[in-house]
Amino acid sequence: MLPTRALFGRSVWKGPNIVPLRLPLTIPPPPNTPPIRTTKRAATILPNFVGLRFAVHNGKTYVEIQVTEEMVGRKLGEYVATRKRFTYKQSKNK
Amino acid sequence: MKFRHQTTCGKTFGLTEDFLPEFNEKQQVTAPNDCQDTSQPTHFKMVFILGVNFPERNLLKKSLQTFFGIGGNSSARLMSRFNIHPTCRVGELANKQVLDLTAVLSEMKIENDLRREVLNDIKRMKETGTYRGRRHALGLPVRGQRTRTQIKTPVKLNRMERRL
Amino acid sequence: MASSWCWNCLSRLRPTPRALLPPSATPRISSAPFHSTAVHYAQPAKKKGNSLTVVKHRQSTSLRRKKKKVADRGGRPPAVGERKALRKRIVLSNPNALEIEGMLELSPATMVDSRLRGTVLGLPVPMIDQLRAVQAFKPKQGWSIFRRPGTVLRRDTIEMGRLFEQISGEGDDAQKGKVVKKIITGMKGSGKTVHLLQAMAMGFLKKWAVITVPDARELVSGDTAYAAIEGSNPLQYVQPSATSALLTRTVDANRELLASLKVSQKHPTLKMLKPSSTLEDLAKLGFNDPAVSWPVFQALWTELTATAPAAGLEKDFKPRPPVLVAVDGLAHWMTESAYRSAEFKPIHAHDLAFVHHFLSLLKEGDSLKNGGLLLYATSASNNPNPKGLSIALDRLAARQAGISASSPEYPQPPAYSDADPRVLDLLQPAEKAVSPLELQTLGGLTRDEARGFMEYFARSGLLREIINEQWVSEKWSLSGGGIIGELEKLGRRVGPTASLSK
Repeated sequence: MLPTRALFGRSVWKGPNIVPLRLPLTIPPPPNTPPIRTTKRAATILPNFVGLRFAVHNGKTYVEIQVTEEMVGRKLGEYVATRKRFTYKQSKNK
Repeated sequence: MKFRHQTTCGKTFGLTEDFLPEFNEKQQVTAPNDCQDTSQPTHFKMVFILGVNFPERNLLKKSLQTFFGIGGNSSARLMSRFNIHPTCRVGELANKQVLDLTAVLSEMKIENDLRREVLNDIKRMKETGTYRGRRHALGLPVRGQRTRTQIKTPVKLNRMERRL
Repeated sequence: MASSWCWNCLSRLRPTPRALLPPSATPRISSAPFHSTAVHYAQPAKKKGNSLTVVKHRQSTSLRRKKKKVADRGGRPPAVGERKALRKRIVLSNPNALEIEGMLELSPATMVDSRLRGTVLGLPVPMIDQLRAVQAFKPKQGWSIFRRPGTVLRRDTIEMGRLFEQISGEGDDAQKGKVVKKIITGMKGSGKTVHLLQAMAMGFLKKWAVITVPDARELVSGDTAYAAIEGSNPLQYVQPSATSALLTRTVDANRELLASLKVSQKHPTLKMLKPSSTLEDLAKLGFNDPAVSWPVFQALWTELTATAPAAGLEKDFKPRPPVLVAVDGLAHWMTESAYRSAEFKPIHAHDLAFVHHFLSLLKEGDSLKNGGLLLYATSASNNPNPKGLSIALDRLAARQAGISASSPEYPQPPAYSDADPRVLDLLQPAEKAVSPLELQTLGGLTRDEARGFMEYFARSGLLREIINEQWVSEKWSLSGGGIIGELEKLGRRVGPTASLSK
């Protein structure tokens, strides 16, 4: 997994990688806002995403994240890990 | 068969009397006149730059690079800004140049300010839950390197409070 | 087998082997006069350290090598500057070389005598200090193998000697006060630097003012302090410590001359100068205070090139002598220097005021008003290969051969080569130049000159050969057609076979 494309020195002239995300036109008010399901992990978080909730694909399931102001400029995928931490499990039948 | 004057002949045997085939210039080593006395005082005159003492005979370029956050390029730029030649020693600086350097250095983000900034950046990455922050906290390589072998340096350095 | 060295000398080098000595009485008590037990009756000394029988802990029984000890030199490391002083040390005399009887000295008479062509003329002893002061000798020129420093009187030397006579005004009066400007090139070892040395020696003989830059590289390698001249456009830079070193050199070498000349111009920038002081005093102002060394040098230059005194200073004005300017390693001045401007752009060598001063002499014909000789030598071994210099020199040679700038044979820089326009422009002919810039290419010695040079080695006791036509011609060919540096190597290389074959 590549943590962030920004680290590989994306050229300035290209500007940020803006992936067309289909945001819903109307978002229900806070208590029961549905997260936006997406697989576009490389999408740059734009300032108008702040406050939204995304369900980003991790390769298997959709993981919810809440976009805050500090996340602007980074990628959606940075906040959703694609790998599990390795844990050793005792197997029963040796 | 080779004849070695240095080892056997020495200075005691004059070469003028007998002709010897191989001429050796080292025979007439004369102490250079302008050579200074080798005895040196144990302490040197020091020069203060940004509150740090530097011995006079040190190269200025290297002395500037002892500050955290100043490397080869920025020290060369700093020196050329005040028309200081690249091989200048600390002792050759004029008083004004020392003051100028100190003034500029004190406005740069170096030493503890820079360390604090780097640590804050890592902390913020961790707190927002990015992958990079997590890798720092786990002591693993951050930029996509392999972890199967050769991760001694990140294990040693990558922490929440990164070693700097 | 005939040996090439003297056994008498060898026998003194080591003590005679015991086997050769007559057998003395039984047990030789050699070392201990305090007791009478013979040395070999004593118990054999016990071996120190752990032998194999005493094994303290488990260790391998494989071969244990002793670690190489780092040689402890003992004492302090060399003092600051000591090694450099040793590197730059110049030995001018070798007491083991034979003295040559009847060796002539360089003098106003001998330096133009074409009958002496090919002989080695010694440098006059009182002048050696002056030559040392202007750093005319270089460490690797092989002065240290002869009894006293001497140089070959070759064709170029005699021509230069005549030039000195003409400019000094002896003989043809029309040539007096002429300015001759030369760039000296030539193959490695062809004697360019020694040619400059001969020029300096002649300058001292003729009582000229001798100003030299022994190593052009020092000014551009970024090793001396520099400072911008405020208000100059384009921005120029002074090098105070290099200038004060130049002043020191000049005064040391020309003390007698400078002490005899009085200040004759007005120098408003130098407040501390007294009106009645000599040029030596003027130059000395710049010694200790590098801040004023550049204005002092400029003042000294205007004094040396002055033709008439300023108003009010007519008292004891003496006409100024011609000036010899010798620069070695010209190519270093044709590139960007190691200095950086305040904006971190490399400073071109031509923007350094010191360099600019000497290079502008090439362009401006009338700057040496009392006449003089400008000799700017390139170096073949220490050459930064500046872009455009070779083409500029080719152009100079072409102009000298009479090829006009518009002809198709006139050398042009190759397409897409970024030849430095400033370098090309510098060596262009100026519109109102009094005397054109000349290119002098030093070649090899002729066979006759080479023979004289090799005889000098033989007479110094360095070469055990019978010098005849055939031998000289062989060595002349081996040295690439009489390249003097190569000849010198052949002359000093005396292998053990040299005399065995005889």
